[in-house]
Amino acid sequence: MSALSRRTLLTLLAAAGSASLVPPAFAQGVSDRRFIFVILRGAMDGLAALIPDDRETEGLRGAILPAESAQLDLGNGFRLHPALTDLHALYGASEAAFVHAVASPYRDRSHFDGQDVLETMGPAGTRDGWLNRALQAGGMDGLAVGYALPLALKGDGRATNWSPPVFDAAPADTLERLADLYAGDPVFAAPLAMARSLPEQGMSANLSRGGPVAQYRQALSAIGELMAPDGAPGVGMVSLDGWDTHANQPGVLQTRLQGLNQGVVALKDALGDRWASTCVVMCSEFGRTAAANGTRGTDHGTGGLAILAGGAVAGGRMHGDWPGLAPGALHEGRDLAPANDLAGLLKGVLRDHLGLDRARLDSLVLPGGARPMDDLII
Amino acid sequence: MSIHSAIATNRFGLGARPGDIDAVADDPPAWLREQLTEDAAESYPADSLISAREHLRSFYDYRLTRSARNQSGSEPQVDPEAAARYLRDARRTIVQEIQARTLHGESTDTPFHERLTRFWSNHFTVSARKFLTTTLAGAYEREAIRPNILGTFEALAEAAIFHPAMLIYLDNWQSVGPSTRPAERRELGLNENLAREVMELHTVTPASGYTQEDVTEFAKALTGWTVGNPRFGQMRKGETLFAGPIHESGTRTVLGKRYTQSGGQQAKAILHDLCAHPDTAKSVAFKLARHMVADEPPQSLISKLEVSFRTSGGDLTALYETLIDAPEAWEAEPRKVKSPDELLTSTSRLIGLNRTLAGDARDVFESFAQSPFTAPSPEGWPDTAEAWIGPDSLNKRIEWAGRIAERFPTLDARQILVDGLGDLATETTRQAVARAESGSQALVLALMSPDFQRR
Repeated sequence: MSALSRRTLLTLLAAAGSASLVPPAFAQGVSDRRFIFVILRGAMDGLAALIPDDRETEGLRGAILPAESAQLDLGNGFRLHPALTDLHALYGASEAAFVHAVASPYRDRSHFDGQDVLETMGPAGTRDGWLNRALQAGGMDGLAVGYALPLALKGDGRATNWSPPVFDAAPADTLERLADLYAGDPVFAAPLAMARSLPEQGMSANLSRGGPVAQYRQALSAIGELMAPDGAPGVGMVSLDGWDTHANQPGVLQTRLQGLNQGVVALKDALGDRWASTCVVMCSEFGRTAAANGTRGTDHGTGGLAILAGGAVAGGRMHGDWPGLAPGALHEGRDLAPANDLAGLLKGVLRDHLGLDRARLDSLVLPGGARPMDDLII
Repeated sequence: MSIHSAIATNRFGLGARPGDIDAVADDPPAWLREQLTEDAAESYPADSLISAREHLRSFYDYRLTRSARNQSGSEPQVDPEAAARYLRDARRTIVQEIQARTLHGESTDTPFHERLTRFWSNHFTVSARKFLTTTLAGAYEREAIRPNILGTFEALAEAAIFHPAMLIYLDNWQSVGPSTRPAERRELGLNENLAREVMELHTVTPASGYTQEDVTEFAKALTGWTVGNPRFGQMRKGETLFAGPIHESGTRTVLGKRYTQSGGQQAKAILHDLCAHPDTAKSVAFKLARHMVADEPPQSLISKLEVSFRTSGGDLTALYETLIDAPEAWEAEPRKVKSPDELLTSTSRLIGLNRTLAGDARDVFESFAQSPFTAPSPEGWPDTAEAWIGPDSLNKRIEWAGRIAERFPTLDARQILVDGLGDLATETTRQAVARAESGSQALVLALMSPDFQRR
């Protein structure tokens, strides 16, 4: 993909900005900071990605654990899944961190409702996303890679989406003629002008084809490339589907974690120097059951795993509390307990990484009593 | 040939097929009125499709084999293998439902009826995005919406809201009166989702000034309305029923009015008043005017529809006749930009479904970000140009048009303008098409012209 110009992104965003309360001059990337939110839709099994090195784990899920010799020891009582080699290296370089047993306020087990809560961080029926409210609070622009704007970025703040072509791009001459045809019709003329300044080559594969390794890598690489330039949006979002591992989890998860691992590397490469001032937060709507089920999988649970990556992250360590997997510690006797509040994690990142004001965070972006988690950002 | 026949087929209908504009030219309003019959609803090709009741019965059969303990969460725990099997069936079902609806959109002789059906289906959205509604969303539209769009708004609302699919989609099937014995014994409780969305989206809207207390009260009245599981016996399995033991009994107050009814009739009495509320008339009038005429429709049209709704007691056929009689709906300049679904439907009516989707259905639906039955939320699909036309989405439309042109190079774009748009094709578009450097470029210009992108 050819690099996008600063002008391109600004014009792209201008299309989304008509309803914005943010003065454009203020919105034009005054910061070099980047925040990228990655939703792992379908509920990633956090206990398989970051495996507790304790007595209970073997008993609960021995049948689905990767060989212990292949697990990647963090030296703190936890081991990473063997597929997460690059994340392991980033952790060693203090550029990745983990918050285990983290959960949104949602306590039921529906993907649909859980993802709505994860994206709105509000009661059922909330129509705007917390990430969009963060844009409003910080005077920033938001960008999603995908065919539609995700709920988390919907709202009055300035946000738009971008996706690679599904079919071949139209020839330049056809676009020129369409521009003539649209002259005087701003509903079509303005978006076409912006569309014409978008990349034409590369990035031709489909975001939903080619298996998770290719999909994840491609989506994360694209958001990195779009957010790398000066003046690019400060806030990005990517959705990675396919984490609902009810059956045959070891094989299914192996490819997805590989994809995530390669995706993070692709994102880092695409961001280039910008990686140093980036914080990525990756998490799911909820976690999965502590015990394996009867079909070598896990079912919908509660506490999940948040993965933080980027040069701005206080990495090489785990943040938050670890409730353990002892029988009495499990939520409803079956799930990893929600020991850490995702709203607090997000507040900590938004406050310390993007400099959002605490009062605005509490009143507008993430209402509710959650206390910001400290020390997530260097 | 008059511009009114082009408007009738494109703005009121789903897009002209070759010959349609001439065929209705004698009396376009009469052609629209003739579609407002039960026959139109019954022409839907539903023979091989499965009812919501049957889907739910097979769901419960799968559930019986579950290994996991039953949990009180809003999505039941099912045996993974049974779930996988059920999901396979679910995917097949949704594909069949989409095929039937797409095919009907292409071929129906009563496209105004079909447009209204889709409008109401969107107003009372049940999205297939939720686990259980994957199999139910299509059946819901066929069973609750399609047969009821010509009667009263209240009858339609009741059919929609008390259909098993809606009770499941908005969680009412698991809502339990907080002071009932099951609630105390099993830590179950009230779920306000359906009550809130009925007030916010389906009827009075926040403009009516309802409070949280009103929502809670309505939610309590709605408790008990659930879906028959195997405990209710084979006969009632998978059907809407009222379960007295989980109903929160007592007098309820909603929007200042007391409801002393007992049992399931209480929620219906409240719904009756919500449907008759002046803010419901206002909201429905605005929404229909926005859908039919313009994102910001003329106030005079909204007022006519509102008055019609109020004076007729929510008679929907009368409402459509008011619309047909309103000169505002026949203004020559098309102002509504087609949604992706409307673009694909109108294109397939004009050039054939196989050309329009050409084996790329999944890519097309996905890249257009609108796949039938999968609205992102209970709010349904958006109905404004702003929501559908951005740099990325316009690009996707252009690329799709290019795909059609590349695959079907012999389609004559000039004829397509004549057949599809009649007098609505502007001189600018005709010239651009005529001067195109190739047939395939001409087709892209025709399909992507503002004339064809609007209705």
